[in-house]
Amino acid sequence: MKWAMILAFSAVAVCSAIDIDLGAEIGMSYPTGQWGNSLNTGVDAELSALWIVTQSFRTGLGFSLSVFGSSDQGAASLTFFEPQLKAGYYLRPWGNIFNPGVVCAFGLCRSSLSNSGGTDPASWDPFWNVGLRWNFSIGGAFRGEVGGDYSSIMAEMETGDSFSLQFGISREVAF
Amino acid sequence: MKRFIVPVLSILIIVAASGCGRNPLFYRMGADYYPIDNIGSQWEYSIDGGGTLIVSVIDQTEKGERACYRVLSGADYTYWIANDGYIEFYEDHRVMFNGYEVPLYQAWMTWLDWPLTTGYSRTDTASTFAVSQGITISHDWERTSVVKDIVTSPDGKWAECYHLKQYETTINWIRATGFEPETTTVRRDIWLAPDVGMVARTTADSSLTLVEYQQGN
Repeated sequence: MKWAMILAFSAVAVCSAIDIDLGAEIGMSYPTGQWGNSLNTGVDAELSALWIVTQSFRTGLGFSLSVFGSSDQGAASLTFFEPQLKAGYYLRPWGNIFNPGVVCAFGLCRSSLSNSGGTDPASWDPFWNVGLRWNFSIGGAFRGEVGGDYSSIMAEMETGDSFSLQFGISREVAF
Repeated sequence: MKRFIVPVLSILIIVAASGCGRNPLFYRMGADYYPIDNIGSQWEYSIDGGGTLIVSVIDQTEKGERACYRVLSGADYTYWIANDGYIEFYEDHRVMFNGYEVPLYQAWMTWLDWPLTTGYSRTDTASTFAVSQGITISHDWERTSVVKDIVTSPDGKWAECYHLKQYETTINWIRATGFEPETTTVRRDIWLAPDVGMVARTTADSSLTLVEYQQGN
């Protein structure tokens, strides 16, 4: 039911938009707390659709998936699935080479841990994310983006904080 | 812009209201469930039926050509290595034969690897033999560790414990006329609490409960 509602609101947000920025990002995540002691660097992938509200401001929805493995080549893996509400503000949206911006996101994170045939109960927790971006044109109506994010999963008793490097590509689509 | 506000607020409400399915996963992942790498740490257990067992981390030493922590458990020493992703235990299997103590198997072996999860399972085995006084003694050993669930300790004092079940089978066989394989099976239930370690252990003939824990340096 929760998912149906989120998708319904996504559809509303998308349908009411005129210009959409479709984006895909990949990245590497580094845990910053003790929760990452037994884990290696994580790999992220994200898809997003952002409504271009003004030249500088855009907002919309995204879904990201992150996977962490064991630090000792063991069998542990931790996955995050994060449906989220995203927003971004860019200072020089007309800039071909240098278009700095800030992005933020808020949503839910499903954290699932498994190791050696076992799986802990998955946890659904709110999370937030802020980051800086360097956006630039790569030709053919596509734009590239690099940046760094800091995110925090607001789990019970202890948060799951991490820093990530992001590399993205996006394209504006007019409806 | 107004059309945008409604879905945004709705999503925020859904997110804020969704408290179901939460559990302190990151707390468990960040906790040390077997903190034997602090010299001076001491655990005091009460033994069911009377008595006390003191377990303390004495110092760092070398065993099997590796640096490790030496732990005094009652009158016996045990040896541990705490790595980032796993903990190792020095297995020292011996048997008494004709008044002599015969070493059968000595090696470092992973005891548990982190992070623990419900349903986690690992099995370690060893199969070897030794010759003493001209007689061959074979030794087959197997230990399976399974995490049953995440619970509060039996005494109700420690939350978010991993309940570990261990099954250990040892078969020693003196290969001489008149001797049969001697099989020993031990089943243990162990409760590991975050940042404390073992808070309870039960076997068929004994039961330990942690009454005091002092963290070392």
